[in-house]
Amino acid sequence: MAANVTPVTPLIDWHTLLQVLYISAACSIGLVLLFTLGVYALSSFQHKGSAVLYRGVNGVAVALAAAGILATVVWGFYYIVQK
Amino acid sequence: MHNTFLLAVVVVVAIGFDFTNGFHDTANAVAPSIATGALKPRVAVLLSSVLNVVGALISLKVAATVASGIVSQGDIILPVVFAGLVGAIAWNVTTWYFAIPSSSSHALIGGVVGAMMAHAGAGSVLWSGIVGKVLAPSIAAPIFALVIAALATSMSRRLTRKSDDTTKSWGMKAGQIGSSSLLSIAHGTNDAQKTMGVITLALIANGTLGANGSTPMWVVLTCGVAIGLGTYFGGWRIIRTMGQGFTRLSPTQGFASQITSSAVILTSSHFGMPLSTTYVATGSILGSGIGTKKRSVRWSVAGRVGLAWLITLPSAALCGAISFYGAKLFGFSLGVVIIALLLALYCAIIYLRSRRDKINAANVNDRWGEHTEALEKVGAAEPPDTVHELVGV
Repeated sequence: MAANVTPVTPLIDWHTLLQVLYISAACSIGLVLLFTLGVYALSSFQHKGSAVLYRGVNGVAVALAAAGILATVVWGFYYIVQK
Repeated sequence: MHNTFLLAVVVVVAIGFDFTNGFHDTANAVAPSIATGALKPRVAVLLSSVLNVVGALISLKVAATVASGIVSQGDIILPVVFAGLVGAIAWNVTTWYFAIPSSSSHALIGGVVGAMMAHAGAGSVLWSGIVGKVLAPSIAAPIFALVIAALATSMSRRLTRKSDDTTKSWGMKAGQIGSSSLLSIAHGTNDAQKTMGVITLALIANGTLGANGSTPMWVVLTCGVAIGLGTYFGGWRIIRTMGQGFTRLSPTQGFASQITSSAVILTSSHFGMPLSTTYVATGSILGSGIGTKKRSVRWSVAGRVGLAWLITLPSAALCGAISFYGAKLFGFSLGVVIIALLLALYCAIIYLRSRRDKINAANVNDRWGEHTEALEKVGAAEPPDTVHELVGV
């Protein structure tokens, strides 16, 4: 005979806390990495004397990083508005 | 008649709390930007105050009231709300004077809990809610932010080691402006709505609004303007502690700490986990110090701030309980006026005392230890040049 077991709500919601940790860590580190790569690429792009191809690749990297950051900020504002 | 008068006093005090919330929490969004020179101090607080107002206005879905799940909602009466707000304001003003970044939300929760215990006993407090919704996230938030910001700073520092200093500085400062703006708008949305929730609760308790009544527009506008004005006045003392006291921030650290704060706050908000903005921002700044080559952080300052966090809830609760008993002693209608006047007097005394060593936009970035008041003495023995040299990235 299975006894009636009342589900116990945990005092601390560890599952949600850990989710916050994982997701915010991924977002923060990902964004900082993206932005840092953009800054690194910009620094290389501005370096005179580099090969044209090298500068081109860096230019594209700067544009991609800037677009990624901009998209994230726009998403952040959108999320706050929608919340 | 009495109820309407009491309601008016509660609304005025709630708006006062919203104002203190603004100037107390300005530092969370702008301190790193000011410390690294990404934004001039006045420009930073102006931008933050405008975005706080925008944040308060863009979302009209009032979040669960601040005391939801913390105290028995059925026992709440107007004097409890009043005393809770008084406790929160008293604690906010005190910690501002001592330049300590502490949570305005926890001060409010503490104030309401104390007033509630004075009114209906300890049984009216949902202690499981205090542990699960307040204490656990309070401990977790700064640790999460600290670890993440340390990793992000360390990684960013290593990757840009060989980059041109001017480009790196310019890029990171530009990034800081974006992340600072995001933090300001998130703060306006979250914190202004807490006060809107308190006023709405008071209106419902008084019968002015129906049980399911929505927040009136005048409440939304007033709360938005109050938090914006508070932010514009700038809690320079706390900005100084967060920008200069814990560590000397470079643009790389400032950017990493602000991105971390934004990500942690927005993620926790998404999952309905109420984390304190102040604790997250403080943890991020400390983490960005740890992420530097020499892990340079003034732990003596951080320790004092941590101690203040530990006593925030009980201290605000004590203030709330005393306010409730005080108001009850004179009869609530006269009592709330007397307590409100005493609070105003206390705020005036604190303000005048703070003028002895005024911190403002002009000297907020002075080296740590150059001022004489309160927290400034802690960690002042540490030679600023050494800190600068260690942290300089």
